[in-house]
Parts: sequence; C-alpha cells; structure tokens
Amino acid sequence: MALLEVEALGVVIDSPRGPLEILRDVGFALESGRILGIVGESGSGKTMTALALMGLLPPGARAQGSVRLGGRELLRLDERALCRLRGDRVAMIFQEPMSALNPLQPVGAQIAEPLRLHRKMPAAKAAAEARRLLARVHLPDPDRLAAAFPHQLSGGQRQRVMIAMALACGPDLLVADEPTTALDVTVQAQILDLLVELVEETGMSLILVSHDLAAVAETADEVLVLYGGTVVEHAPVAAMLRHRAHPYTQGLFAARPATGLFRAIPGSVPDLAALPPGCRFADRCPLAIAACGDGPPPLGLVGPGHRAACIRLEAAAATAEAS
Amino acid sequence: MTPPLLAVEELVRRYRRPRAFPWRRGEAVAALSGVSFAIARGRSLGIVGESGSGKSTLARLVMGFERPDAGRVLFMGEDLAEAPPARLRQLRRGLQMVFQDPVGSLDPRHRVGRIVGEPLDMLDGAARGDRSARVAAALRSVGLGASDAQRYPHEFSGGQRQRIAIARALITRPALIVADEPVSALDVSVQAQVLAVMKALAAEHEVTYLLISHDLAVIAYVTVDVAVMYRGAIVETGPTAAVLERPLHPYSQALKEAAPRLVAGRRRHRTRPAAPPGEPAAAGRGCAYAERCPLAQRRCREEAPALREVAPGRRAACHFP
Amino acid sequence: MSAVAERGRPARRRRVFRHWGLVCGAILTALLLLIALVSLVWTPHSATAIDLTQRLLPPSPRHWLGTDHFGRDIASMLMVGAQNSILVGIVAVAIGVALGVSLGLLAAAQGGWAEEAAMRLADFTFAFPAVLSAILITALLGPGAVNSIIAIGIFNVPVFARLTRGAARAIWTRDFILAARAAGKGGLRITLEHVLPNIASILIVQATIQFALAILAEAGLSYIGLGTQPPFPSWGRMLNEAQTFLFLAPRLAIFPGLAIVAAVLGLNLLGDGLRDLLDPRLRRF
Repeated sequence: MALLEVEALGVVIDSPRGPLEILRDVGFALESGRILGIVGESGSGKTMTALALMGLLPPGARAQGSVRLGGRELLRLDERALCRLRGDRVAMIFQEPMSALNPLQPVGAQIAEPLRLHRKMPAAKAAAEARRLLARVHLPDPDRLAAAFPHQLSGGQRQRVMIAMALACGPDLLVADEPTTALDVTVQAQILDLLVELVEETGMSLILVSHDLAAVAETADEVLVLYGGTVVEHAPVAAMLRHRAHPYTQGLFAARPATGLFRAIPGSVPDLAALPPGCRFADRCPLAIAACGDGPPPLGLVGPGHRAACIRLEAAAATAEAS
Repeated sequence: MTPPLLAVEELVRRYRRPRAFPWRRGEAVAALSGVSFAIARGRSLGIVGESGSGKSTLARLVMGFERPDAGRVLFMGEDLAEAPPARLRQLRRGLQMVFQDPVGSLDPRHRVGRIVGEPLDMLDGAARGDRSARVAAALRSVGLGASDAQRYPHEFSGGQRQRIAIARALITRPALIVADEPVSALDVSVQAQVLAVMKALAAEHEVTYLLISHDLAVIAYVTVDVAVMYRGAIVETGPTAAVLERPLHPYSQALKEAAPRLVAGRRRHRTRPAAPPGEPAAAGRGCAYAERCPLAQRRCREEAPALREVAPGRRAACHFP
Repeated sequence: MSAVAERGRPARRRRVFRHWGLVCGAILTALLLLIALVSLVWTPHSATAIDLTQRLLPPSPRHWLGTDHFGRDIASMLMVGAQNSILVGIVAVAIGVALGVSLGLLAAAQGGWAEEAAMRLADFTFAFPAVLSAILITALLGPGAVNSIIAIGIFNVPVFARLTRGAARAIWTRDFILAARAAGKGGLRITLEHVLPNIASILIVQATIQFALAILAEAGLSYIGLGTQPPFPSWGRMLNEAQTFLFLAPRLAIFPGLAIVAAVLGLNLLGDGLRDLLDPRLRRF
C-alpha cells in the first residue's frame, strides 16, 4: 500500500458565475520516500490539489473522491481529526514565505509551535529542538536567528524557516506549493537541494508543485502534468524526458527547451466557468478532432508507469518523432 | 560619428531606508553604484540580475522617471535630464517602455484603443489625423484585431494584455523600447507568444530593446549583448551567446549553474556549491560578491575590481576571472 | 470508494441573497427623494398653515398622520422637511467632496511638503468634535439652513481628503501611471484622466454614507434650534416641539423620528451595499 493514494479526486467551488469544476478525476499514488512533481500553469488546479490533500480548501469548495494517507481516508475526517494530522503527519510549505510566517513572532517560536501542539513538548525543550532544526536547514548562527523576526530575514532564509517548521514533527508527507517561485534562481537551487537532502535523510515523501517543468524534472522522481483541472500525463521523470505522450506536455517542453528555442502554444488556459465536456485542451491542441469534444479522454498506458489522457496518442507520438 | 542610441554614464542612485527613530537618518542603500554602458542601434541589450541588483532602478532612470544622484543618461546623444519640455516630448517619442505586470500596466477604466493611442495623443500631435488607423495597425502588428480597440483590458488574457502594452509602446515608432521583465508574470506556454512578437517587431520596425530579466533563456532569445548586474553594479558584459556559454565572472557562472535543467536524477548531477565563506567585504571597499564567491581571496575583500576587458569583447569585474 | 465532503469552513449562510441591503437601501433612498420631489409641487395640506381649531388630531383620512399642536398637517410637514434634509445633506457633502477630494488628489500627486500640509490641515479639522463644532459655528454665524450647511460641510472636507489621498496614492504606484508618464503626461492630466476614474467608486460610497450623517447632523442642529428656522419645517425641530406633548400625543415625535431613521438607514444600507457591489469588481480589474 502506498503512503498516499488519491483516486478520482474532484473539487467543485461555488462562485458568482455558478459551480466551477476546478479539479476533475485526479488520481495518483505516492510511495514512501518518493518525490512527486505536479506541474501546471495557471488554472491547472495544481494548488487546489495540494490544498485538497491537506483539507485546506477554501470555503464553498466541495471535494469528492478519495484521498488516503496510510490507509486512512482524509476526505471523511472532521476538522479536529485533520488538525491533529496537519503539522504532524503531513505538512505544507507555501510560495510566499513572508505571508506564511507570522510577522509578530520570532521564528524560533514559530518553529517550536508544532512541537508544543502535537508533541506536547515543554517550552524549553521545544526551543532547543527549534534551534536544532534551524541548523538542520543550514541556517547559520541558529541561536541568534531563533530570536529574529521574519522581516529581518531574506526570502531564502524565510523559506528555510518554513521548511524547518514543516519538519518539526517528522511528517510522512511534505507538500510544497511553489516553494521557490518567489525566490531568486540562485536561492531556488539551494532550497531544492535542501528538500532533496531532507527526503533522503528522513525518508519522507515530497510533493513538489510548480509551474517550472525543468525544476521539477531535476528534483522529482515522477511527474504529474495537470491542465484545466485534469491529469493529462503522469510518468517517471526519465521516461518523460525521453518521450512526451500528450500534446500539451509536448507543447510545454517546446515552450522552454534547454536550448532556448521558444515555441508557444496558441490560445490560453480554459475559463473554468465555460468548460467543454470533452478534453479541456482540445481548443489549443494541434491534433484535435471532433471526437475530442465528446467526453473526457481516458488515461491510456504509454509505457511502464507512464500514462497520458488523450485519444490521439499515436498521432502525438508521430509528431514527436518528426520534430 | 553618430552617438549610440542610449548611453549611460556612471549612474548612481541611492535610497534612504525609512528610519526607525526620527532623530536618525535612514540608512542609505546604493541601488546603483556607477553603472555605465552603451547600446548601439540594432543591438538589443539584455540586463540580467536578481532581486537587489538594481535593474528596475536602472529602467526608471533610463526612462527619466527619476533623476540619478550622479551620472547621465544620454538618449541619442542628449541628456534627458537637461532637455527642455518640448524637446523632451520629441525625445520620448523614440523611447518607450513595457512593464512587468500585464494587469497593472493598463488602466482598467480606459478602452484599449485609448490606452494604445495615449503616447500618440501626447507626443505626436501631427499624427492625430490618422490616429485610429495607427492604433489599428499597432494592434494588428501584435496579433490582435482592430476591433479590440473597443474593449476593456479585463476582457483579455495576460498574454494578450502584454501584447496590448507592446502595441502601446510601439505606436510612436520608437527607436528604443525598455522592457522590464516583460514575460515573467505570464504562463510558460504564453511567454513564447509575447517574445515571438517582440522579436518579429524588432526586425520589422527597427526597434532596439533594453531587455531586463532574471531569466537567461528570455535574454538569449531576444538580445545580442548582455550585461550582468549584481548589487547595483555591472559585473560582466559581452555578446549574449558568448557570455551564456562561457561566463567569466563567478556570479554569472553561479547564475548559469543555478538555472534549472531538464536532467533527471534528483539533482545528483548538480554540483553543490561550496558553502560561501560568509565574510562580507569591508564596507564599500571590496568586491560586493566576495561574501558569496567560492574564489574569494583577501584581495577581493579589500579592493573592488573594476570592469575591465579580460577577453576580446568581454568585460568582467573580477580579479580572478 | 467515494466520499462527498464539505471541506473548508462550513458555509453557515447558504445562498442568502447577497444584495438585500443594497436593494432595501436603494428603495428607502428612492422613496425619500421621491417624497421630497413630489412635495415641491404638491402636499396634502400646507405644511406651514396654522389652524388652532385642528390641533392634535389623530390620523384620519383627511390628515393622514394627524396634526400637531399648531394644527399643521404632520404628513405635509414631513414631506417638506424631507426637502430640507436632502438639500442640507447634498450641499454639505458637495462642499466636502469638492474641497476634500481636491485636497486629497493634490496631496497624492505632489507628495512631499504639499502632502504633509494638506494632511495636517485635515487632521486639524478632525481634532474638533464635529457636532459640537457645528453648534459653535452656527451659534457664531447665526442659526439657519445656510450656516448649518457650511458647518456640516466643513467637517466633511477632512473625511474626503483622507480617503482620497489614501486611495489615490495606491493608484499612483500602479504601472499604468508610469506608462502615462512615459507618454509625457503631466501630474494634472494623470490625476484627472487616470487617478480620479479609478477611485470614483470609493468616493461615491463614502459620499452616500456622509449624506446619511449630514441628515443626522442637520436634524441634531435643528433640534437645538440652530438649524433650519421656522416657518420652514425641519424634522429635527419637529422632534423638539414634540417633547412637550410626548405623553399626550407621542405621534408628534414618532413620525419625524421614524422619518430620520428611515432616511439615515436607507442611505447607510445603500452605501454599504454599493461598497460590497463595487469592491470585488474593482479587484477583477
């Protein structure tokens, strides 16, 4: 049994324009100690997926399907049970460290908080553990830094503080939602290095959500590509680098290849209030045919552990060969 | 000899930090400390830098939104700060800007036609007659339609809005467009649309760009020369292809190294950078990069290196390039 | 295995019509305006004619709300009193808007000393308690509608100045202002063409709320005799005159009281409703 099993996850949110289906039929499994990257652009639903796993969906959002952590169904749990899990078995770090940290509390106290909450540690012991965690995330001078406030730290330092906070109780799963997007590229590399290092040391699993395909490819073991709230491709990274099965993934790779030639995908991401019944990429897809609009394309197997949701996989493979 | 399109000489700009107590003056931060470069017509220049490099300040000074504390900005040989208002209006026709935020750079209360035509209305009275024709032409050249002039910005996507901003920048037929992170706020699949438009227009309309970005791939696609900035100073210059292939300054090398690459393997292929020595240079004296530089030696902390030619056409500010 | 779950904070209010406050407020305000307009050409009876033979009559088909201690028809007095309240309210708020918004726009556009001076001027005015100072001013200048307009108007100026300056400053930081500067536009044109349209909705909302406060202030001034003078009817003065008869004929106080409540409530609901309506739209832009 995998650590995390997600099956047919769907999220609908009420909006002034009616119910919006922001996630449809998302499914994947994650083993202990593995890193999954979730890649998508705006409107892909990648952040919603992360929030759904934590039970942190915004008010008015309804989740359906199944999310099982260690066999336990998370979607059926009430808020109290979820609170016990959050920060303890499953933790999350966010994109904007400045708004995710409390500006009025020293960082040491913020790191100690999960320890005091979930492990009932006395203050002094929690403070000592907090300093140890600061050192673990390679922050210099932990004793002095523990008393600092978030605004006195740089972006990269704040992100490390958030990671330390997430690590405090030794979670089984860490969900990182665009942890490096707001950081400079040199700091980004360090943070991603740190995350991999922690995964290898502690054996926890990591879900890395990002719009940056290359950063995810370098860091993760498997990649899940989302578009318009649906899974379009899911593969081990090595397989995906060799061969992209879905036209959208192919387009994404062509838009930012390592050699710097840009090729855009015409059009823009779908309006969630006006979703087509069939494949959500059809209006931008160079291979779309009439049948693409009939219904959601099934996830077909393309290779070991490699699936793509498209009814024109052979044509896609042919164009990939040609280019 | 014709002067370069844009020449920037020893630009200095300092800001004061807000003060904690009324009797203390705010700490001065040097956003730009002595930046100089020149852009020749037809040779787009890229400015690469991360946060704190001073690149946005540079954009504001080049456009004349702020006055430098020292140094000059010469556009087509004339100092913008000295130009009388009428001459400044003429000069501004040749110098326009595209901003980072596609949402914030268009007035939500104005229609697109009015937005795109704004520089024309203000700067080129003679062209008023065929204003709507020019607006339509500008919209068409960025891949939009003449009828889009009647619509409001919020009816367009991010990529389209950025193209509207480009149409606005183009309408007075400028010689130089300053583009400050023009695609950073856009989805990846859309970035290429906007960059393709920019590149095509450069050829068609003989526009030269001063392109500011933190993204090396964007710089590589559009520009011919590049200058790398760190903490308010230029640390390396040279032709874009050469600098990106073989960066000479340790900071440029770090930038290139840090860029994500499409290689599997949980980052094992990456060289973990040596832990930085951490000791900052003597304030104001040594090289600003010394505290992070793996090659730093004592000389680096005491003497700031000048930007000098270390290879044909390549300049770097380092004692040990 | 499927589980349908309501995630996030449980929605306590399910599908309540979001804009009921706005609608109620709009209706009340419209009623107020309508009554005032109608009273310009027609009232059931004269609002000022005294007829001591008809004193203190209860409501009847002839006198819909009865008569007061001077025999005047209460309904007519309320209608004409509405004119008065609206007039004072509108002009006082207009003074506040004209001077306050100009001051705020100037402060935001200039920055530096001009901004400091303008804001300190506003602070200075804020420092005085509004109603007491209005009393002082009307006591000095003499009672009457015009002077109460001036007194109330003065205290609207800093409200709008502060609000305008804050909102305008936020607009000045946006990139489209820089684009206008790149096109060579100067501060005044930018203020009029870009800044003002973008803050207009905030100002409209505040003006509506200030209107409600102005009506209340006028009623207060009239109550103590410093506002609109007889014979022109005023709700506040009606309240004052009703005091002597409070146990004999409470309707003399209840009807003008209700009129004030309805007007102020209606305008407040309208203002709040407009704010809710316009605010998220602003974000969409």
